[in-house]
Amino acid sequence: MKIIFFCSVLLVVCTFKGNCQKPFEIISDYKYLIKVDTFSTTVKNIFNEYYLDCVHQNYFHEGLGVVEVVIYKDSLHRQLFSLTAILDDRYTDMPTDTYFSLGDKLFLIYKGDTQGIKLNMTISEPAIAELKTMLEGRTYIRPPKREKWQEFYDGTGHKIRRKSGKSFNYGNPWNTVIYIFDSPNKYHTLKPL
Amino acid sequence: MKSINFIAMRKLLIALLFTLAFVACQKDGENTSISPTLLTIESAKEWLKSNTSTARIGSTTILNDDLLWKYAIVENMKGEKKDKVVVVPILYSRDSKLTQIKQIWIYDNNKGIRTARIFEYLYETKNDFKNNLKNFSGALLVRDMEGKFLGGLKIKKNRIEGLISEITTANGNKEVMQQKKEARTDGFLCGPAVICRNWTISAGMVSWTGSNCDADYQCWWGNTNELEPAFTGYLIDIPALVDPPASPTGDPVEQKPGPNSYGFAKDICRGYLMMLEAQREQNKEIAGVVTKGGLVFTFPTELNDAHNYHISDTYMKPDGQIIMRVFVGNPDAADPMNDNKYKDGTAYIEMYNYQTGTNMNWEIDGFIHTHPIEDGYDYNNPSPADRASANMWSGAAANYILTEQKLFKYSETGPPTRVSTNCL
Repeated sequence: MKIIFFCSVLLVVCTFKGNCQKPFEIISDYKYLIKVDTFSTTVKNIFNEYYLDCVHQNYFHEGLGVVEVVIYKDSLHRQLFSLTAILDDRYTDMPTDTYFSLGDKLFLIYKGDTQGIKLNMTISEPAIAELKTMLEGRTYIRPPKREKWQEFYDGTGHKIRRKSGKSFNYGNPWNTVIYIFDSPNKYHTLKPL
Repeated sequence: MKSINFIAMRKLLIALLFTLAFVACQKDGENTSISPTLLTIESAKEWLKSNTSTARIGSTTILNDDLLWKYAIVENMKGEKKDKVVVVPILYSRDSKLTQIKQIWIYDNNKGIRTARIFEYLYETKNDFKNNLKNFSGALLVRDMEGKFLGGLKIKKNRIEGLISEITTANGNKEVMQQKKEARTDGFLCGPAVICRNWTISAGMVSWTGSNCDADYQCWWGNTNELEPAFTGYLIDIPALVDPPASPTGDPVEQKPGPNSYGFAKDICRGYLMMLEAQREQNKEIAGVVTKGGLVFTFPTELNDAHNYHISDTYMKPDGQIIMRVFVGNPDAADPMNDNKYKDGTAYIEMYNYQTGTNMNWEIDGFIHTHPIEDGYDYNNPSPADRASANMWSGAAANYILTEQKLFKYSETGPPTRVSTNCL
């Protein structure tokens, strides 16, 4: 009798509220992607602050953007983390199967050589598919590279319309910051030029 | 760089009178102001900078970088008031089909208003220019700083033959002498003259097509105190003619880069030092190319900042004229400017001479950019963006980083390697 009464109350409450879904959904872990959860608090703080810095400095737009992290050791055997703001889907050029997340903040993890250049990884197709699913709605989609038209006067004064496309920003357009660890909890930063 | 060839004025009288004549036709709202300071080269430079944005001669925009201030002179105007005039040469080429010399004259007119006018000398033949500057035959056109044609003189062997009241420019537009009613009331002078009309003068690069001149009785702008009626036949001397900094073959001018102007050095060490100087002066990274012959070209710096730089394959003035462009030779490309004269797979830098209608190009050895030495910055290494674009010219050129201390070569991968140089 008591059980029937309890179920009736639950039914009434659910009906009244109109929604009895769970407040969160427990999903299975990615099958092919690896989440690194062994970073020290210092590193996690660095990741968090870097992400916020990218938001404040407008390297991320409209809630889009992820951070690319290259972890490597230089020729002096120091531990380095190179963090770069990625706004579009250029991760597809060299996908990774390793990531880290802090709430909504997503970090793609790569290993690098002594120069901090990402090492090529062999990633399985299912892992790439999972990566794309994970990054859905987080980056802009790059249009295919196309040349642009330009109008100008040639040397003889004739107006010409010509295709041209090469125009690059060099230096540090993606807010790369290199964190150099002299010890596990002591680090300094360098910005590329 | 050529030496300066100052030709002293012997008889500037007519030039002065001509100048004053145009004072009378000043338009309201032009680049004029009550002159607050003594007219010197420095004060004229400041005044011009704050009172003009972009001047034009016909279809050609004159940027501040085109003014050869270091060759500017101050001359005394011969006349009642003995005022001064600052004459500033403008970049030009003597190798043009129709050799042109352009100057900006800045002076305080008879109402005390500082005024600027563009004087454009058009020689009938190149030989006249090369052989005898005191024997000028051709036309003298005067414009305001917005490029409006105010009038001109037909001159034969330094003698004024007539008035040019109308010209046809390269783009086919007809420009008519600006006349103002109030100027007439200010005292037009009349006398016999050879009047020339309907000229085709391409203020740029097209040919001189001649004129129709008739003897007539013509009224001139002017002031009775300053211009005598019997003006025909007066001698005219051109003040402060300056040899162009470009050689007769149209070589680029040795200079540091500016926001809208290229930099160039014939000597590789001088080029490096010039880039580093420009970096300090402008607080911007400076980028350019080193040619296989050891010339150093640097790109305009408009889009650069302290820690970033920009490279485009085409640099243009606002009117669409190309300052310089970079490309890789491809005989098969459907590009009217990339024909068979370029080697396949070779990177070139090309510059344009709009006076002669020609272009010159040089094979590129490598791209080079500066890094300031600053704490907190990784100045001895290329950035990820540098590496990502290191191969943008299809491997046709190397990539270099220049600091105050070292020169590095880098590629998409691997550590940068130091390049030995005696320049630093």
